[in-house]
This record gives sequence, structure tokens and C-alpha cells, in this order.
Amino acid sequence: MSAAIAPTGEAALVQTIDVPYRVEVADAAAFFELANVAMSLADLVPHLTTLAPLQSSPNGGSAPDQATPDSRDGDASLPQPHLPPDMKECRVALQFPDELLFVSDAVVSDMFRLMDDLRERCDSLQAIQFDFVILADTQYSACCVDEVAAQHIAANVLVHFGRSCLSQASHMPVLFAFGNFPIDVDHVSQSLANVPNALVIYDVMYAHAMPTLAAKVAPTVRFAAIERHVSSTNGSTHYTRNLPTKEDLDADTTVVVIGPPSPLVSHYSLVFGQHSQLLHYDPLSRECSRPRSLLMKRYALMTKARDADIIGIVVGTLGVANYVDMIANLKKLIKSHGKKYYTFVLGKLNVAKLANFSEIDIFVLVACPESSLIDSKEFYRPVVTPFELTMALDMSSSWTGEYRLGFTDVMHQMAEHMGDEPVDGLDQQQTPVAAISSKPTAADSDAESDTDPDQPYFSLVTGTFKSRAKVENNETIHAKIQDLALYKSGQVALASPAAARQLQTRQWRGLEMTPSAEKSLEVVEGRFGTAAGYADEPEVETGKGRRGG
Amino acid sequence: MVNFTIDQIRALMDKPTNIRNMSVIAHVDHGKSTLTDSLVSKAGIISTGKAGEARFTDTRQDEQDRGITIKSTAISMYFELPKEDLGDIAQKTEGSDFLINLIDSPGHVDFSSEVTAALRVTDGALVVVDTIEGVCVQTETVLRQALTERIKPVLVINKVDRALLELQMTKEDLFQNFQRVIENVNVIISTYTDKTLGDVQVYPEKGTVAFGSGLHGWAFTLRQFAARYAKKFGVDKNKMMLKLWGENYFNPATKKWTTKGADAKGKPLERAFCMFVLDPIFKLFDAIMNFKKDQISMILEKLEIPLKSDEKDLEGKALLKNVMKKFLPAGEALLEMIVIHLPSPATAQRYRVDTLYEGPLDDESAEGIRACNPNAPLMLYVSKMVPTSDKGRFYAFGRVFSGTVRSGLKVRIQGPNYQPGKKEDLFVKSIQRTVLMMGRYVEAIDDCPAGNIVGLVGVDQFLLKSGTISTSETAHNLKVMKFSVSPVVRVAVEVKNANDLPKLVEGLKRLSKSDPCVQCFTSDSGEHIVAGAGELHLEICLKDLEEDHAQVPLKTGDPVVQYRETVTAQSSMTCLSKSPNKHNRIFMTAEPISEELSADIESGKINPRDDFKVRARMLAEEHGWDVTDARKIWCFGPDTTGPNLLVDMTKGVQYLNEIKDSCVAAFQWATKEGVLCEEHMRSIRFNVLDVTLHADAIHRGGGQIMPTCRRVCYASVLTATPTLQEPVFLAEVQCPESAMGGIYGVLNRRRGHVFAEEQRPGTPLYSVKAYIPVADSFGFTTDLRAATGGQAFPQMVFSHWQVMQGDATQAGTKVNDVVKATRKRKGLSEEVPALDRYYDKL
Ligand SMILES: Nc1nc2c(ncn2[C@@H]2O[C@H](COP(=O)(O)OP(=O)(O)OP(=O)(O)O)[C@@H](O)[C@H]2O)c(=O)[nH]1
Ligand SMILES: [Mg+2]
Repeated sequence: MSAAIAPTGEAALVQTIDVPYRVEVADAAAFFELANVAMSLADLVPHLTTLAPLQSSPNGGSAPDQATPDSRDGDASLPQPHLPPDMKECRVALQFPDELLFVSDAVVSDMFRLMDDLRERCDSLQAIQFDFVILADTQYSACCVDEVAAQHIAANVLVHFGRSCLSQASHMPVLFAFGNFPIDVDHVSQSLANVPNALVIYDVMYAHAMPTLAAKVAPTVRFAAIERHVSSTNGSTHYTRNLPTKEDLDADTTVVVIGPPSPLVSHYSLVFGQHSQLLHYDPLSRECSRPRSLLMKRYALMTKARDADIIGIVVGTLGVANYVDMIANLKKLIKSHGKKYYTFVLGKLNVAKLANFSEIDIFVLVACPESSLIDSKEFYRPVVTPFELTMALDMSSSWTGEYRLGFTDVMHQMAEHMGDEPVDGLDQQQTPVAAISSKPTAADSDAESDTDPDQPYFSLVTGTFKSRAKVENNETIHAKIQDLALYKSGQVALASPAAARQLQTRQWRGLEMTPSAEKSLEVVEGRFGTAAGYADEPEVETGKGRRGG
Repeated sequence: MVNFTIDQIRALMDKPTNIRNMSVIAHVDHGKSTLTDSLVSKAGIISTGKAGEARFTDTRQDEQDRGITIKSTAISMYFELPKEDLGDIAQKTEGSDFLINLIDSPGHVDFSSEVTAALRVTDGALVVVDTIEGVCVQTETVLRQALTERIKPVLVINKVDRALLELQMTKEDLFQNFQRVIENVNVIISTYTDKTLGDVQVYPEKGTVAFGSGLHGWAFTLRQFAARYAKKFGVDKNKMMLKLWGENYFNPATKKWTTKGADAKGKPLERAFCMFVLDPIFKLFDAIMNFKKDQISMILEKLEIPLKSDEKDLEGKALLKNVMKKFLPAGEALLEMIVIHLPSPATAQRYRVDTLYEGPLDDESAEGIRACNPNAPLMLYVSKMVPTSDKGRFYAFGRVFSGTVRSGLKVRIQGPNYQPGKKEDLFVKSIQRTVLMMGRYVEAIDDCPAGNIVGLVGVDQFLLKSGTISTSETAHNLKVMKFSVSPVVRVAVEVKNANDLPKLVEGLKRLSKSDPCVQCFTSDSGEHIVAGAGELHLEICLKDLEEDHAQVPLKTGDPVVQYRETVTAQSSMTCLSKSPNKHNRIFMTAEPISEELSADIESGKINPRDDFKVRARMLAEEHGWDVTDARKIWCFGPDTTGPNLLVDMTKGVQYLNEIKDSCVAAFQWATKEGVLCEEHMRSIRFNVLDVTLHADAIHRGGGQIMPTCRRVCYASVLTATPTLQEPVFLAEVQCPESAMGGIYGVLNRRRGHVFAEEQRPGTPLYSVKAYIPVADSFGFTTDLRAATGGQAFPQMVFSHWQVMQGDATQAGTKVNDVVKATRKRKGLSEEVPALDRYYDKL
């Protein structure tokens, strides 16, 4: 009945990209309005069809051991109500960002108490035992729902605490507790006194103060309200921000972003920066500033992306809906431009991880809108968003400063760009990489027309002509593998696939390729499977000494 | 009007022995375009009357308006040499008709790259020098370039009319003046000449120097006068020429030639040059300008100059012009000099091939070039792009060195980065059309054989500015041109209306194409940058960009100077950075590299492709390096060729070779974006002193090493008293003494510093040479004109990098202000990052 921390991701040596913020929380229940959370949880329970029967041994079942530590029995301070024998277990994952982890303990005990209270009043809860598991050190960014970690511990419901990017999760029922972060409403209203024509976009943690604020500022100030939607099918909640379209904004509207200095600000500086003024109010430092628009910097990255031949797709989320489609679309897009891609799943992004792949020219990060904007020059190769890559690859594109970050938006953009349907099958299991026939290589066409496919383009990075990439993707390389020849010098000569070319530029190429006098060995087939159990090994009992993590 | 046809020209193109490809080069305003006009009028392309006013080769509106040439312009002319003179040509010829392909080039330093492009496609140069201004900076620059390209020069001393009319020089003064100019030119020639060219100094007595006035359309070499007097004295023409120059005197009393300036009684004699050459000219000038009617008709009769009835009424300058043009027609004298003394392609390519061709000198392409063989594989160098009337399209302008180019021919278009055997920067395409470039007109021709200058349609999509076109699969590139100017002045441009962005991008591409030197690119902060050689160059480029190439309204920022980050001392301590996983450590220091070494690296004298032993010896002998250190240079940077070095000074480090690639990449990155304000680094040597690596390969991968090596480079710089180097222009100003005060005043206000000041002998002109930081040079020209009543006009060219005083990390210094301003412009935090961001404690 106490909580366990399920560690995911690697040791916290890495620099995080999220901006941390600190708050004092005296009363966790009040801070997170846990009573409401408990109510929602209770409402949600009837929708959960797959609750596991409570077993005597917590080690059984599908949950890996990290979710079932021994400490569970150690804490006896809370009352143990008498439970009916057909009791079912509802496992609730509580996801905290690192900076709020210190309240997790208090939250858990409060939740136990609240659920017990509710159970007394509500019959449907009688047969259910709640079990809370704390998730921390989120695999990707803390603003997204970490569904994978929740699935690891076989949670039925996930409650996300603290700042959220409001990205919709794809699988499981989710509840949110943003927290009532302190904000000096009077000070905000003073700061906004001379911007009557404002559109206020607020970070979720300050949602609680917005009604008060609205009463204090000029009636012309509009608020981009955050709306709560409850799914009728599984009782899951999700939120949307009601943003006006750019057309709705008057030229003299000032977009005011209230929140800590976070990617949210950069996000809106890109989306609205072109069309109106932007102000950022930071409730922590109580400062009101005009953020620099990132637009031109992002533009510079786009020009770099255009010149990239080898693109790394970095999977930065496993939770945001449609990410699989997005990746598939990106692959298709990249391939259609004759460039090469590699896909990386790296967990939290950091400089050292990406620097391991120095052959990659540019990375494209598939993540929630807020964490996909990486504004750091520490990376050896730049990291761009899918939208930026789409715009960059489209030579004819007339980019005029408009900016999109949401997956759906961007996929539409891609579709327009590729002139066909994007990959958006709802079936998340398959990875539909549409096999498109490689573009016809207009071999001997006379250079009569402007549309010669070989025609180089003017690279704005170098100020010179650059040939359109003709990097071969794996299919073509495999077709050519017959041509592979081992020269006398011991050099492997390929028809010029990207990797071989890269290898040539390196001084250190690993093993010596000079043929030795020794007779070479026959090639034999190796083992199949993973180190935990090769295919030719006898089956090992699961759950016995196997440690995950 | 035109007294030759395209067919005639086309026929001549097949005779490489009878072709002369030549450029007209000089300092700004010395009269190249005016002189070209008089040649063009001789060829019948423009009327004789217009010569000197129209400037046929200044085709652009702004060239006409400003009276200054901006782009080089080519024109083909037909010339027939009198049969009796054919014997004077020392090289092989066929028949007496000649094709002269002439390129008029701009004289302003900012457009030097146009000169370079012109020189590449020609074999000879007509060097023009103003009698009064004499040899100036730009004369030297272009002459030097010509000689390094193995271009043979002939000289014309121009604006002689001014010496007579304005300065009222005496005959002897004028001779001395000519002598001095010739001497100065020959000093430059002997300094830069290439042995294979032989003696290419210019000698009046050999007919390689002409004197004249482009404006008035007259010119002569000693040949013309020798021909006149040869009969009279009954001596051979060539012998006569020798007599007409230098210390040769004719004693009219004894009718004897002597080399002494006085007769037996000590009475001074008049120099033969003055007596026989200058005297008739002086007499004519005197008679006409002083309206001595009767004398005029006498002289005219004597000189056999017939006047038409309507010309008889002319007076003064108009008459003078008319008479002089008939007496000594410039076209004839100059074209004769060109045909006789400049090499034909057949002659020139024999010795030019080894400097032109990058490949082995015995392959089929080299052989083809050497023999100027129209049947060998095609070798063509495109030296620049010329806009067509079709917006956004360009003629590729170049020279056929070997083979024959024709419409529809399938060729290999090799960009500047092409390497034989690789596919990069190579396109196999067909030539759409071949044309003859004639000033503002073009004429289509079916094909063009070796030795000629040609325009190509259908190549501009594949080459940005220049490149090699060939039909041989084994052909290497023709050598990339080396410019004497670099784009040091830059501005950011943006569109006034966001929707025009794509047009701007297209415009930048076209601008970049249309000028050999301009660079267009985006900076890391997303600005579109246009970089040019100087303020004037930039001004012209921006105007072209806005009006022709992009055709959308633009906003232009202030000119921006590029700095270089450097260090002035050895790192005060050994710097250490640890990898993100803390398992790997790199120890490093930074120290300055001598300016001489940096310059040698930048000029390519010391380069990364040298054999490391040879390079080490050179470093030890010429730059005082320790040989062992010099052998362990890992790389040059930025861009693998820059003037910063990474030196391995470790001893016995295990796995070191595994991390070398990562270190090299980090070093390239760090030197490209310095720690102070993300400018390139310059003149820094980084010593890798020690490295400790994790025993497990997985923990010492690129991801761990690369960021660490970059950080330790930064730490090393921060501890080595970092500062900036700023670019400095060399400014040369010519002006009368009265304007000197103004010049000094303006220079002082702009941190300028005069290092040479001298009067040109025989003239009231002073020449002032000064260094002025590029940062303070914006508006210098305008300021100077204002301060000197329009009498002083500077020529500025990048000279060197100058270290700024002080520590860039110390607030309050000027260099720190510059660093902060640069950081701000680039959207970085204003303060230079503190050392502890890069330096780790043990
Ligand atoms: N008095 C006199 N003036 C001349 C003579 N030749 C040229 N000029 C004048 O000198 C000025 C410059 O002449 P250009 O022919 O434009 O000189 P340029 O060398 O082509 O100049 P850039 O191409 O700008 O370098 C013009 O005003 C001409 O009229 C000459 O023989 N005598
Ligand atoms: Mg000119």
C-alpha cells in the first residue's frame, strides 16, 4: 500500500532539456486537488474491464518485479480495511516530474485515504483495491504521459502530475492533476494593464488562477481556455487548448504566455510570433519579457536540413498519439527525396548520445510539440522538427514564416507536400512503410527543361550548388551487394553507399582489413535470439531471476 | 557598318595561329574602356565618331551612369595586318587576317574578380597606364595576376593628351615620364614573372609599348615612326626602332647618330625620340591649340593628312582630335601591337597547360590543350556567367582549350569540387547552344573549336560560377581560379514582405551566379548574408539583387565585419575537461601561432595535403617549430584547411587512434564557432597533452569524446588571453597636395594609419598609403570625397588581420565591446561563457 518508484531511463548524469521549476508544497491534497482526482478515478473505474483479480502473492501476474517491491508490506501506518474475497486490484500509476517527486509520498497516502473514504460511500468501489505506483524519471519528457512505463507495471490508470503538454495519449485512461502553482494574480494583472488587447495563453499549472485573473483585467483580454474532455468510452480525460486561428487575431493583439520559461514560450513565439506581439510572463521570477523570436534560427536550421543527405529520425515519444504514423511518414518523405534515414530510440535526448552518430547530417525529433523544439548549439548536428524537415525538403516550398508543431497538422503538410495520402492507419501495431517506387531517374533527358531532376540546387548554407542527394537506401544496397568485391588491398568496394563513403573519410576503421597469411575461415551461421535466451538454448522459466529494467 | 561578318569570324576561329585572346587591364579610370572603343571603332563595330564617348563595353545602365566598368565584357574583332608586316610576327601564322577576342575589364579593386575571370580565358594583356597617375596599386595587382596566369603583357601609356594640354610638359619631361612608367611596369614584371614565359618585360624599341590617347583616338608605337623614317634614313625598320628610344641622338649638323647627349663642342643634342617622334606631335598640338592657321595646313601637308571639306572648319580640340586620329589612328597601332606581340592560343597553350591543368600532363586532355587541338577531347573552362535577356538564365562564358564544342554535344560538366573517378559535382548533359559574345549582342554559332572564347547555353543550371567542361572521362579539372580579393564585407538582407522570401532566395542564387566573387548564404541566426569585396561591390550587388534578381523590396542591415578569434599567450594552466560519463579526460593547452605561419597556411604554402615529413621540416626551418611536434599535427581547421592546428603531444596513450576522428571533428567544430562570439578561430595551436580513456570501448565512444574535446578547446582558449583579430584594408589614395590635409583628417577619425606618402615625380600628385580597419571603412570613400572636394578617391583592398589589444573576456576593453555586440547580433547571451562551463576540476 505504499508506493514504489519505477526507474526508467538512464542515470541522471545527462543534462535535461526541460527547464525545472521548484515549488513549495505544504498540503499535497490541496495543491493537486486530490479529492477531484479521486472522484474522477472513481468515475473511471466502471470503465475498466480488465482489472486483475487480487492475488496473494504480488510477485505473480504480469507485473515485472520492479513494480512490486517488498516495501509494500513494510508500511503499516495506514488502516487495512477488511476486504471482500473477490476483490479486484486497480493499479494506478502516478507519474511525477522529477521536481515534484518529493511530494509523491504525501500524495500516495492522501490518495489511499481518499479512496477509502470514497469506497465507504460508493458501492461500486467496494470490490476494488487501489494500488498506487509512482513513476518518475520519465523516459522522454516529463510533460508527456509515459504510457510505456505504466504498461510495464501493468497499471490500469495513469494520473499525470504537474506540467503537461496536453498531448493525447494513445492507449490508456489518463487523469491529470496539474497542481495549483502559486501565482501573484495582482502582479499579473498589473503587468497586463497596458495591453488591453491581449490573448492570454497560460501554462496548465496556472489554470486555477485564471478565473480570478480574468476578473481583474480588462474585459477585452481574451483567454485561450483549456477545456477538459472526458471520454465516454473509457472515462479517460484529456485537455485541449482553445487557440484562435491566426486569422482571428487582430494585428494589434498581444499574445501573452504565462508560465515558466519553457518550450511552451518558444512554441508560441513560433506559432504566433510572426503575426502579433508576444509577451512572456514568468510567475516564478515575476518578470514580463519579450522573448526573442526563434523563427529565424529555425529557418537557419531548415536550410541546413535541406543539405542533409543522411537523416536520423529520433523517436522522442512512445506515448503521443500518432507517433508511429509520423515516423512512417517521415521515412516515406525522406526516401522520396533520395536521402537516407536511420531511426534511433534513445530515451531522453542528450548531447553525448547524439554525438555518437557523427555520420548523421541532421536529426529530426518526433516528440510532443513542446519537447521537439531543441534550441541548443551544443549538439554536434542540429535537431529539427518534422515540420521543419518537411519544409526543408520541399524545394519549391514557399515558406513564409508559418509554423506548425502538432502531429496532425504536420502530417497534413507532408501529405500536401508528397501529393498523396499520408500514412495514418489507425492500427498502431504495424509500421506501414509504404513502398514507393523510387523516382524515375530521367537518365538521358536533354537538359532542355528547367525541371531536370539532376539539376543541383543552390545551398544557402554554403552558398554553392549542391547535388540532389542520391544516397542509396537499404533496398538498393542489398540489390547491389553482389557487386561487392574484396580488392587486393583489402578495401571493401561498394557502389558508393553512404556508409562506405563515410568509412573512407575516417582514419580509424576498426579492425585491420589487410588480409593476413592465415587461411580464412568458413562462414557459419550464428545464434538467433537475445542474450537472455538464445533460440538454441533450453527455455528458461520466466520470472525466475530475470530482472528487467 | 560592320566591316566583317560572322562567317568571316567563324572561318578564322579554325586557325588558332591567327587568334589573339587578350584582356585590357589597368587601374581604375586609366582609360581601358575608352581605349577599347577606339579598337572597336577600327573594327567597324561602332562609328569612329562615337569612339571615346560611347564606351561600347560598358553595357549596363549603371556603368554608363557612373562612368565606371563593373563587369568585364568580351568582344570579337576582325583585323587584317598589312602583308609586309607579317614578317614581324615571331610566331607561326597563316594568312594575314586575324581574329581578336578582347575583354575589357573593370579597374576598381572591388571588381578584381572580374579581371581574374577575364585573364583565365585570354593569353595576352594590354596593360593601360595613365601618363599622369602612373603605376598604381591596381596596376600592380592585375599585372601580378596576369603573370601568375602566364599571360603576356604589352603596355599602352594613355592620356598623353593631358600631359601636353594640361601639364604642358616639355618633350624631354614627357620622355622621362614615359621612361619612368615603363621602368615601374618592368619592375613589377620582373618581380612576378614566371621563368617559362621568358623575358616579358616591355620595351618601346621592340614595339611592345604604345603611347596615345584613348579619348582622342590616337596612339602609336615606335614601329609607326620607324616605318616613316626607315625610308628616309635608308635603314631597316627594326634598326630604326632601336634608334628612336633611349640614349640615341641625331646630330642634324653632322647627320650622324650618336649615343651621347651632346655634340663635340658640348652643345646638348635633342634625343631622337623627342626629335623624330614627339616633335611632329608637339608641333601639331601647338599649331592647332594656338590657332596657327597657316602652320596647320603646312604640317598637315607634310604629314600627308587629308582633311574633308567639312572638317576644314573645325578648330581647337575638335580639329586636334580629328587630325590626330588620322595621323596616328589608335586602332591600327594597338591592333598591330596586339597581333604582332601577343601570343596566339597555339603558342600560349603550349606553356600554359602546366599551370592550367590539374591532371597528369601527359594524358589526352593535357595533350589536347598543349596542341590546341580541335579534334582532341573537349576541355573548356567556364570562367563566369553572363546574364541573358531571359530572366534568371545565364550564358556560361569560357574558353575552349581543346577539342570543339557544338550544340547538342553531350559533355561532362565538372564543378569545382569534382574529382576524377567520383560522381560528386559531375553532370553529364548536352550543350544547348553555342554563341559568340559581342558586347551587348550575341550571335549564334554552330560550334567553336579550341583556342576561342565562347558562350554556352544550358550549362548555367549545373555550374554556379565556374567549372570545367569536358568530353573525356579521365579529364581532371582545369585549375580553379584564385581571386586576389576576398568577400570581407557583409550585410544581412531581408524581405520587407514575408511572402517574398522565396523570391529572395531565388534572387540570392542568381546574384551569386552573376558575380565571380560575391557570396550569398544564411548565417546560423537565420539571416541572409551577402558578402562582397568592398562597399562599392556590395552596393552594386544589392542593387542588382533588388532590381534584377529578386525583384522584391528588400531591407538591408548595416555592414557587418567578420572577426577572427585568437589567443595572445600560452594557456595559463593545463586545461582539463571530462566526458559526460566522467570516465574520460582530455588535457590541453592553447598557444598562438606566428602570423607568418598563419599566412603561409592561408596561402596554401603549408597545407594538410603535404607529406608530413616535408611539412615538418618546413615548420622547423622556417617557423622554428620543434620537429617532433611538427610531425604530429593531427589536423588543420576550420574546414580542414584553416590556420589553426591540433597537435598531439601525448606520450603512450592507449586507444588514442580510436578517438582521433572524434577529436578532429570536435576541433573543426570548435575552430569554426569560437568560444568568444562564434566567429572562426585563427592562429591558434592546440596541444593535446594527455588523454585518459575508459578501458571499455563503449564508454569512450564518439559521443563521450567529441563534446569533451570541444569543451577543452574552449577552456584552453579562455585561459590563453583570448582576443579578436580584425580585418584591415590597405587604402591607396592619389590626390593633389592641397587635398592631403583632408585625407589625414578623415583617416585619423577612422583609426587609419598612414605608412607611406610620396609624390609622383614630375606630377603634382601625391600617393598616400594607409591601413584602415574594415570596421571603420564604411563610408570612407564618401567622407574622403567630401573632405577633399572630390579630389581624392581611395582604392581599398583587404590586407591583413590585426590583433585587437586587450583581453576579450575583460569587461571595458574595446575588444570586449565588439565581442558583446557580435554575440548580441547573433542572438547569443551577451556575456562570454565562464571558464567553468568548459573546465572541469580534477
Ligand atoms: N584626357 C583624357 N581622358 C581620358 C583618356 N582616356 C580616358 N579618359 C577619361 O578617363 C575617364 C575614365 O575612362 P574609362 O575608359 O571609363 O576608364 P576605365 O579604365 O575603363 O575605367 P574603369 O573601367 O572604371 O576602371 C573618362 O572620363 C574618360 O573620358 C585620354 O586618353 N585622355
Ligand atoms: Mg572601363
